[in-house]
Amino acid sequence: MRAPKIRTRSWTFSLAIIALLGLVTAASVSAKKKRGGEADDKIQALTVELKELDVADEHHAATSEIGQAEALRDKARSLIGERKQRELLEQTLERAEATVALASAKVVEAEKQAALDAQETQRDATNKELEAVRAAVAKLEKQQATLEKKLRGSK
Amino acid sequence: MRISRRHHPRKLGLGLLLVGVAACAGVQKPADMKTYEQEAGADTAEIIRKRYPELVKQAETHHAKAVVARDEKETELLKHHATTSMLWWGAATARSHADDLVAQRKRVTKKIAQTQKALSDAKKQQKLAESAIARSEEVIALQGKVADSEGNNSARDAINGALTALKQAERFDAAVHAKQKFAEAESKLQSATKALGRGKAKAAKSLAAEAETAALSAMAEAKPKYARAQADQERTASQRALFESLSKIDKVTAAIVEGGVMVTIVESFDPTGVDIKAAMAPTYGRIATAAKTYGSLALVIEGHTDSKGKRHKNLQLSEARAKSVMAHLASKGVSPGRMTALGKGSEEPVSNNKTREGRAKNRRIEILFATPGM
Repeated sequence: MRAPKIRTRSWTFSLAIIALLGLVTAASVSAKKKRGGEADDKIQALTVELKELDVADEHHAATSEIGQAEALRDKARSLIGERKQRELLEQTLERAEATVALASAKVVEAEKQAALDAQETQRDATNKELEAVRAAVAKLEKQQATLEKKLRGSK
Repeated sequence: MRISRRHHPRKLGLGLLLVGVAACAGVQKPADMKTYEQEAGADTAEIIRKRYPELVKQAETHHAKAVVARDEKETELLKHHATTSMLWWGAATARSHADDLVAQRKRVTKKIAQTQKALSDAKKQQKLAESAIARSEEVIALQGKVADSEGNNSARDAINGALTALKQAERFDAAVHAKQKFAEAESKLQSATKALGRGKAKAAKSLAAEAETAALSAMAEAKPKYARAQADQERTASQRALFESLSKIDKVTAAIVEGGVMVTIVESFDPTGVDIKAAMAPTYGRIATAAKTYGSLALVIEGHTDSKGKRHKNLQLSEARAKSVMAHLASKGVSPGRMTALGKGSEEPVSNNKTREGRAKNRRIEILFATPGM
């Protein structure tokens, strides 16, 4: 009477082990997929950002950084799915994100610099015009004083 | 044997010491790490930290990881974190520099406005001098042909008097503000000069006196108009400056309207609350700063709701909210005597109450910075 009971228990135990193994495998596969998905999302976001930066970089202030970030993104893309290169993928993505942040900052900086330069050019032109007008006024006032003297003297 | 036995542990000790020294020396700092530490330790770094905390935090995190990697002699990891740290730091530095450039541009813009005002004044002076010279030259040319006599000299004096009066009238833009009288003065002066040229000294004197009277009358007429125009100009400039400073405030829409500058702020409160949301406090803080800068302007604060709910409840809610804004501004140093709070309920919608977006736009606070005389 006892033997079948033991067999049943052993079967239950085996099933539990198999289920557990299945769960662990599924969890590992899902985590792997999740990681891959995250990396994919990051690469996609980087691609969009890089495209926008390329357009925004009118002053070619971040050409080199954009190039570097593109190379890093491509490297990251090639590393997706390579189990042994997970750490390298993470590092590559980190570097790519930081490079994009720098490129973006440089684009903004160049834009502001250009705006300032334009304003300074306008300031210089206005100053020059003011100087010219003031010189003309001084000349005219001198002429006016001479004429007034003449008018008083012609009595 | 005895000697060698005694020396062997010493050699071993020396070897171990050397290994220890080498180990203590550790892995060399990469150039990026050195640069980061140098730049992040400088006095100017504090401003960058305040302006771009997120970027600096990234730099600091990677630097900390680089320090750990160096301690653990993980050369590749050290290089990675040092470079990444420097990239984030570079981003923060560039952004901060961009902010400096914006501030510098603002100063240049202000300077340009001042120079343009000076230029406009100088151009006016130039115009005045040119017309005075033209008139004087005309008079001198004719007077040269006229012989010295008591009558002629008296007419010349009268003509000079008219010239001076015209010059004074021009300073108040009489040619613009008292067009008719000024034209009359100019025409009479011309006639006087011509009469003197024809030897009609008496007529010349009389015409010159009329010219002087007309010029003085033009000046009297132009003076208040000129003062008004100047005041209007100054007010417009001040209104423009106020509008520009209010436009820069986050979550605020500014507009120049009849009576001043109006700012509209939506979603300042929780659905049924009357206290300003914490997220909106900085916005109202900046409005208070602008209000203090333009201390002579009265502030009319109006609360508006959407059409949901009962009318009288909406009216009460809008008034309570307007008063809440007034109290908030007062707590930031705006004198309560300058402010009026009004509740308008749902009576003055700016958008369609049938849509969610429309209702959100209608739930608003409007603050009018009332410009006197406009």
